[in-house]
Amino acid sequence: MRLVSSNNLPRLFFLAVAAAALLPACSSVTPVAAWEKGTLARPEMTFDWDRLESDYAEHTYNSKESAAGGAGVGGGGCGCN
Amino acid sequence: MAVTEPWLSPSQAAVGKALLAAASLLPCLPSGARAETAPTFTSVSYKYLDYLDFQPDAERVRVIANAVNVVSPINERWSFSAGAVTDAVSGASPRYYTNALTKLEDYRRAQNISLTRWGSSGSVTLSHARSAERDYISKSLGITGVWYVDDTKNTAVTAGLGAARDVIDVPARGVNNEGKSVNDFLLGVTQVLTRNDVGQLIARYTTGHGYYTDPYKSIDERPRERSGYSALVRWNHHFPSLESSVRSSYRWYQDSFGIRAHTLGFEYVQPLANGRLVVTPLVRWYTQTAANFYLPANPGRNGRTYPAEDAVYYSQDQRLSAFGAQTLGIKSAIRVSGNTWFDIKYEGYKQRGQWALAGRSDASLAPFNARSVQVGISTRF
Repeated sequence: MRLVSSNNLPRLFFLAVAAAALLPACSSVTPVAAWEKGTLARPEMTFDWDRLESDYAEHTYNSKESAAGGAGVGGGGCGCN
Repeated sequence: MAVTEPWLSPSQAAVGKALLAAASLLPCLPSGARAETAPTFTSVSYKYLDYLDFQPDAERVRVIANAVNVVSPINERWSFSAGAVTDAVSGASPRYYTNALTKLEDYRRAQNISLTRWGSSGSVTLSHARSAERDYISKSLGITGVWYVDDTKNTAVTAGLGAARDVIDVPARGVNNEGKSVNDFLLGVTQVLTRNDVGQLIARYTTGHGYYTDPYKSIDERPRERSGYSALVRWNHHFPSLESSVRSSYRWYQDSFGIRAHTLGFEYVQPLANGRLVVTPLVRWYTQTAANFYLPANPGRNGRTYPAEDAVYYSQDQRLSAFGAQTLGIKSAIRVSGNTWFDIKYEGYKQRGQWALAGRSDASLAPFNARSVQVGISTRF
């Protein structure tokens, strides 16, 4: 027996992320002050480090695997035979 | 405008209208304190890619690609990004499973442009991309908003909408002006955890309809509807004592074709020589189950399983089988002068049926491999 209908999964999924977005407001994560974020500003600590490299990776993986997408929207498609 | 294309359902046309309406709000972001502004410098990047995939008895597809990207401020509140890619594709692709390799040659041109409005509490980016091959044209539009939850800017919520409209034309295979439309919905949160840790969770839902069949496969008929969802978790950690960082990611994916997939990746970033050299080894694991209409190879019948007479959907595409894959790579970036960097990256990829973590793998398929070399240069001024 399936505990969750696959039709409801997207809704549950987005609710979970919305809940995650609200968690920090009531969590015990110690706030990091602006002057303590020097390390986080390093290029390798950002999630969009090398745009061309990540575009190539996504494009070549999409051509040989079925799972696609991740961090962005509206990237468009290709034939990729 | 793509949203008037005849294959759009009313709900998808509504998404297109919502995108345009959201875009019209771009200049209306609150002004006020200017803690977040457009980048203060212009970045220009170029990359060359040499990609080859192959199986033990033959080379398959080779791609030589050139890509350039520019990110530049327009003023304190606006910035833009623009990019262009050319792909020269040659080699051979299998008609079924990993057999009957058939020659192919194509040339792809793609462009993308985005405009970002920066405000005191976040940013909104409107993006457009276009990709054209001889037999496949894709146009897409996206809008992404990032909002900081409070003044500490430790928590950011991201929301995005995307719409892609594709046209497939392969007259030689009886495919004329087929369409495919895909809409994306994205919701995410980025959280500063400590002064050395930042995490991100992104959920994405994709729904589309139209022509999903591969016209170059000899036996292939796929559903005209496809929806899927994914969750991406990323965590970057910095080791102050080593001056190094680990970039880790995990993606969970499931779609209406019956495919479930897991992807796990790690990159270790180590600056050397007082930061003039950065070495980044990386590893990635991937596994997927087979589509529920995939026909496993059958060694007893010329290596093929044919669809039942009453079958509606069927495919002998290796990419819809159950398999696992691993990637090993290394990237080196050298500071040439000032803010100019030269980089080179090598990756090796192996895909095997027996590496599938779940689902019945197809041991009859030939092992599939790929390797890629990227060379790039980037500067900012």
